[in-house]
Amino acid sequence: MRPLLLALLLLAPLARAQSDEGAIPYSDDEAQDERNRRELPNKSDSPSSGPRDETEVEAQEREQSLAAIDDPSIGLSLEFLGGVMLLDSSRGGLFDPKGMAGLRFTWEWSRTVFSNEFAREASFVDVTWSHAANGEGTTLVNSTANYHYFSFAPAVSFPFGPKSPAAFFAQLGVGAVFNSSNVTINQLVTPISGAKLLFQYGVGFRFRPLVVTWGRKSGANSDFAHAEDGMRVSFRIELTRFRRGYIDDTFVGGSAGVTF
Amino acid sequence: MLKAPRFWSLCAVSMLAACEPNVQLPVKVMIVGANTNGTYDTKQVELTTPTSIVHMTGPNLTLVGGAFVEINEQELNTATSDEQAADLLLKNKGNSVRANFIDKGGVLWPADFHTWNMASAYYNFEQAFLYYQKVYNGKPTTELKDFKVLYWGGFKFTGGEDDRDNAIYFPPIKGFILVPYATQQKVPIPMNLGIIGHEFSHLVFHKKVYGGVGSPAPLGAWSLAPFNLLKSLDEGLADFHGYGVTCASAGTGAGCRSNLLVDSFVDDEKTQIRNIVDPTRCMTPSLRAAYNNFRQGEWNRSTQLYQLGNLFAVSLYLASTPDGKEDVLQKSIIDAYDDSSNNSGLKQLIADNLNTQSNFTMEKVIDVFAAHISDMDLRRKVCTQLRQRLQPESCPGFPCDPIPACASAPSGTACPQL
Repeated sequence: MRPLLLALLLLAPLARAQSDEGAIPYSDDEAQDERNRRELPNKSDSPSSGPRDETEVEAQEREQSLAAIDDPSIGLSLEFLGGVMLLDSSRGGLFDPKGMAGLRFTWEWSRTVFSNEFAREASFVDVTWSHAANGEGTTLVNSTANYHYFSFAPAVSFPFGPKSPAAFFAQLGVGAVFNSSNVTINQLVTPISGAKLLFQYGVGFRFRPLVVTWGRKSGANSDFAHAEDGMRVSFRIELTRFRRGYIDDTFVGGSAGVTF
Repeated sequence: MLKAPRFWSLCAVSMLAACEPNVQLPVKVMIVGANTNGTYDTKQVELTTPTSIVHMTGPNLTLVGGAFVEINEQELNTATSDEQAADLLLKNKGNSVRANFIDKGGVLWPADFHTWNMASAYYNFEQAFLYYQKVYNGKPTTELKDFKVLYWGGFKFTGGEDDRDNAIYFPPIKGFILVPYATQQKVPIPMNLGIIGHEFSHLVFHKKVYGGVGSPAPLGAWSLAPFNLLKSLDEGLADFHGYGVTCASAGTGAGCRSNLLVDSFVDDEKTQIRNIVDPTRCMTPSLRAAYNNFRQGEWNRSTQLYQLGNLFAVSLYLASTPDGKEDVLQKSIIDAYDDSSNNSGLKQLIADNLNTQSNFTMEKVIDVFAAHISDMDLRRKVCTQLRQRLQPESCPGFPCDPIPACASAPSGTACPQL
């Protein structure tokens, strides 16, 4: 017991003897704090500490689903075609302008195949029939020529902006022209007909604004309140070149119809 | 849906198939042509010369579409060469035609009116060439090749109206102009073999008699009767040979056309002037007065131009055809166009009298023809026909003694003496 007490008594004089030798310097508190702060994470790694950033995959999935809900139409159109067919002038003129009319079925196939918003708007395909006629001659000798153009033409589309109903398109297609012709001599008619391969290419603008809505696709109370289903009208203005056999015709016109 | 590679292959095939029909001569095509009874029908024929059936071009002729010729005489006076004159005349040089055919078992069927018209025109020009190849009788026909046909071409004088319902041989452009139809609603002129034969005959006359120059000297230098005779001679001989072209093409069922215009024009008095088989055609006091007094422009616009020409055509027809000697006479007449031997031809007669136009008379023209007909019976009949119908004034009666070649020809009684 006596040695323990002695040890305790000795400790105290040691402490006193130290302070007595000069001022003890303060540590650099400010630098110490900054250092400590840098070592700390900016945010807590804890899942429960706040909202986290979505991953790239999550973002894609979110956009895909939004694109499909924003414009849920499957992209089937039926349009009436009209305009001027600048028939290649067999007599060596620039062209012979004639009226043209037809029907066009369009499938925006990329809406079905893709879910990415850009890809969904990027392509469609037309199946078209159109007709132009050319008649000329004297009362005694005259001829009427009918041209029926059948074509299958995929197109690439470039919308004016996100969710824009208007787009520029470029198109390339193949098909056939059925050419039926009559030559009439003194009221005696001689018919002739034949088909030629058709190659077509062209550019134009396509509009498909929503005009009639009939409900919301996935719940009116959802976050996607703008996601409306309905009928769209579709318009086109186009310049299309047809190469039938060795002859070139040019169509300047447009079409109008409905899209679902 | 087509897979992408298959689709692109289809596009490539379409493009490759977009070629013109492969031309292997002769080319079988359908045209509109005449039947022997005067009606027209579609006919299968063979074209023997085109190198491009789509562009209607070949060594003989090339169809050009959309060209326009305007005659501005003031402007033309500044031209120093035929080439420069042609450039000034052609306000629009035109483009290649692009015939639209449907191939049916190797036969090309025109698919529109203009292709029917152009194919028919091409065939008719080929037939006219073949006729002259025969009539040239072995002599070179190179001068009758390589000409243009301005199909559906424009033609007008400055300040005037566009010409319509016409076919024109126009030497300054070394070719022909087939202008659009308008009021004449019968057979389009390009389908009328006789009219094409008539125009082609102007080309032959121009090459042989005028030497093929753009502006023949006598047409600029001469006036009154010598000018009028020269122009009417050209028209009458063109009708006579045009008739010959239709007969030569009889193998296609066309048959001889004694009036080249009647198929395409309203059958009125003006059209009937061109009938070459009418034996009642004679010189009349009014025709003679016009012949002696009309100046160039007036004569060129007159019906008398063709009336006088018709007297030549009728005379030649009636002298040869009843005896089946038209082919002999056709060759003799062509021989008479240009003959640089002692037996001078028309070209030489004109050249010798370029500054003495009064020496270019009916008598001398008749004599040139007669001197080139070796068949004496035919010569006598030609002389008789021409004398009695033309009634040259310098002859006090028939026969015209001063004309050596025709001296022995009987006077004939078909026409009353004026």
